[in-house]
Amino acid sequence: MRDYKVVVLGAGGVGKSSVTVQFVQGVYVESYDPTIEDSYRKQIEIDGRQCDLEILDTAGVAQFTAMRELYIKSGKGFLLVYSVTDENSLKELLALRDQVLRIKDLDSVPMVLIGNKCDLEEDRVLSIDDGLQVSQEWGMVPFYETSAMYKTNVDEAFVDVVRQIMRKEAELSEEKKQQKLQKQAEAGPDAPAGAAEAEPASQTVAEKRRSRQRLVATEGHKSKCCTIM
Amino acid sequence: MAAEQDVEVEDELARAQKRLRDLKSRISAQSKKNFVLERDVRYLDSRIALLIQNRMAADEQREVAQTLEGEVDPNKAGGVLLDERKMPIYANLFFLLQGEPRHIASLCRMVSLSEIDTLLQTVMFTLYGNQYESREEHLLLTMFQSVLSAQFEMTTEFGSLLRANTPVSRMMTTYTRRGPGQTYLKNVMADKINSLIEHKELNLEINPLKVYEQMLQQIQDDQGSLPEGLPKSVPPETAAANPDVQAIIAPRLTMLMDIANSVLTTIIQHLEMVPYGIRWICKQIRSLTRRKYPDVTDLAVCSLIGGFFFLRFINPAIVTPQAYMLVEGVPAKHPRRTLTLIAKMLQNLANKPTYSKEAYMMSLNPFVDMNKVRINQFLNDLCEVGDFYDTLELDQYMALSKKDLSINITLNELFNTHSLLMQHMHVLSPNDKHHLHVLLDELGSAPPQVPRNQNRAIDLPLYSRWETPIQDITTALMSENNVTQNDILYMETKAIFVHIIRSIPQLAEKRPINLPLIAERAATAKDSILVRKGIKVKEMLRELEELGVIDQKDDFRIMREEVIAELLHLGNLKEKVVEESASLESVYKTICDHNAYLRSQLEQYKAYLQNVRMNSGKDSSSSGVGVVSVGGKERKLAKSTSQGPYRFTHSQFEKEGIIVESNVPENRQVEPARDFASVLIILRISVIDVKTSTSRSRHQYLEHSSLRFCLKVVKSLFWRWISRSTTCWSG
Repeated sequence: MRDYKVVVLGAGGVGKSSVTVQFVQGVYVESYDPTIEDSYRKQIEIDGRQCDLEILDTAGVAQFTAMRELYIKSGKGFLLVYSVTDENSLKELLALRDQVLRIKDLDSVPMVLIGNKCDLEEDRVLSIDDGLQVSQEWGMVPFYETSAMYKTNVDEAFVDVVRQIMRKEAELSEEKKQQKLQKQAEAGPDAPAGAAEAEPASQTVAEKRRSRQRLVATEGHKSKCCTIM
Repeated sequence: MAAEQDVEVEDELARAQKRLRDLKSRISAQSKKNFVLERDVRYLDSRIALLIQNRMAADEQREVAQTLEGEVDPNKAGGVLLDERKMPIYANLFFLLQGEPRHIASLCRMVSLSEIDTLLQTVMFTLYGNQYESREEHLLLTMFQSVLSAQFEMTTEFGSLLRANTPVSRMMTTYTRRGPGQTYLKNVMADKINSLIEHKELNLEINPLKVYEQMLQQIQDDQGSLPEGLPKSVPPETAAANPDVQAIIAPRLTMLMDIANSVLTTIIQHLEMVPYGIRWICKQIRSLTRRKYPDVTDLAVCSLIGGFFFLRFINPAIVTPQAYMLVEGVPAKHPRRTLTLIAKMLQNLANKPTYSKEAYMMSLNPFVDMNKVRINQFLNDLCEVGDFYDTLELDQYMALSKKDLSINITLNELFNTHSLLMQHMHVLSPNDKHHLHVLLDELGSAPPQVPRNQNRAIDLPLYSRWETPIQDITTALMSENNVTQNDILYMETKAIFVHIIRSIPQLAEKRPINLPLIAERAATAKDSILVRKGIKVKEMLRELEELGVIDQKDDFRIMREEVIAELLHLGNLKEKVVEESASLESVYKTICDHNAYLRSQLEQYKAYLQNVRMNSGKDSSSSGVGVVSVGGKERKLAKSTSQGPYRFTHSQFEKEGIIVESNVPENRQVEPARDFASVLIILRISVIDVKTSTSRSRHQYLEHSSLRFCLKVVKSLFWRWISRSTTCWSG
């Protein structure tokens, strides 16, 4: 069984913990209890494979941002959560994603964009299109509107990010195999330490992924929630 | 007569403050210097991050170079972008902004979250930058009050009060970063935290799953294999039920509760050291909550106060003490986890959630149960400070007589504030006769932000072209668009009652006090000022009742209680000033320490960025070291690098203890460090590591052969990288 470290990030009060606890324990936490750092485990089967998920639920309160770097380093996949009732929470995600990419030093990292509280139609200030637009700007990062209260799209979002990690790992091991072959083929006497750049290879990986992604919009049953996979 | 007495009391206060003036001005100047340094450090930090990404554009690089050239010369004629004719208008404008906090308060509610950080920095460190000057501090708090009550007005349900990242939460954060807040953390928390992180190997993990895994790892390390019946991965319940796991956790729980208890005790014992402003904000939270949600329990009010004091002030410092300069370097893994657990326990105690998200945290519930009473008492005690409205009025008088009112502000701060005011002028000051409107009209549109090297700081004298009437709180706060008039009315009514009772002390001898009676007595007194106040306050009381803020049925209970509390506090107002003088000495020291720290940080950054530049310069004049070599130099080159190249892997460095923490993405850790990005990261890490050990034995550490070795490797790799990238730099 493989370990999958997933990190939940986002501004304060958007429902990161509610989404996480709903996914892990099937409970909706109503009271507000600001998180400093919580960690959860859950075993699920995805595509016939047993997966051991380690989920790190982080602080949204701005004062704790100094801890973020460590979380991002340890995480393999990321759920970036905003609230459809809070315009600024989506804006804050833009900087967060940049931070993830910078720390990971990669063009793409397993990630989903989540617009939570989609059941609060009356308070909604961000439309599905707002989320879609960001997802497109990010190179088609999968986007889900969720409701932690009604457990809408919660499992889907988590499963999606784990699938992305799986894909990424498969690609990486494939890449390594090929690199090894290549190295064996051209094993020169003194290959300089800084000569090989991983850049071209990872670019093709990103392209491959992009072409594989497709857009599927589905209307949720009870609430108007949108899923892009 | 009574009014005169009042002035006398305040005069004594003013004298005490005069004695402090010298120290205060020194602190403020130093504080300003620190702020500038801090900005430089942050700036270089972010540039280096970009450098690591190999994404620094050529012009940005030049900009960094200019930063390194040293401080911007303020006398440089070239950079004059400020229209001198506009100076007097700016002087008027900022005088107005400083003296009437309502404009900034409204502005804070209107700007976007991305704009607010810059605005708040200008407000808290420039406009009211004199952190130990009561007038500026009080004006700032008045502004705070206004934004806070607006927030209460806008929030529809109690549960979501002060939760999300809003202007108020940003203000709270920025406010706790001012000198007094940082000094408190240093004086009260630093020792405790430092004694905790000394025990690098002390593992207090209580999450059964983690403990189980660590246990298995231990067994495997000891015996080479795992015994039957201990699967590698188990559900949380199985791990928690394992007797060995339980045996490991039990003593840890006790120890954690002991530590948390002692931290809590320290905090409670140092109640009086909590800065006045932070306590006053707590008091405002309590008072606003009680008025807006009369049915909310005392417990819920406490959790709101705790939400500010612990969540936004204390706990961040516990979890990441390095970010608050309480410790040097990042704490090791185990102590870091312990600190997080302690913060979580304090958080649980202050917030008392009904649901425990992580099951294992329930084992720590005895801590919550044991301290419930204590913490609520403490949170209420926090709020027990007096208001400053009387002092503020007097300070405003003094400010008028002062000829040398000025602020030190950078051009960009000036232009940014100007531009934000222009954007929102229609709301801030719709009337074109209004002073703010007149000034903004005269100024016209704001100049664009200037490049960093031209962003000099200027001394802007503050004065008014209009005759300034002395403002009571109402004028200071009220504005056409204000949504919080009820609150202002309430505050002023309270202030007048306090004033009346202090003038005629016998009015308060009989308890419970009778507010309408007091108003009546004042209205019929001999002193004409008192008569006016009495009549005014009677009217205000009636208005407040009509608005439903207070209720005659319970004899205006809320107002009564707050007036009494205020009277109690007034007694020790002078005492506080005396105390202040004692603590200011230590404040000054803290700030100087911080300055030294920032300087060393800056020196380090400068040193290695200088290195980057030097080497890139060398390269273009073909005397470079690296791959490109010409003719006879090749041999020389080979000689000089005879000890290299070496290839080190990330894990080797880790083993050697050279890398303590690392930024290197995991997929690169497996390979030898082969590009500049990783090299620079390693370099950074080693530098940081050296830094942390400076206090003990810097020399010894530098003698450390592996480090010297490593630096050599770093150097050679570094030059190679430089030579590869010159082309893009020169272009």
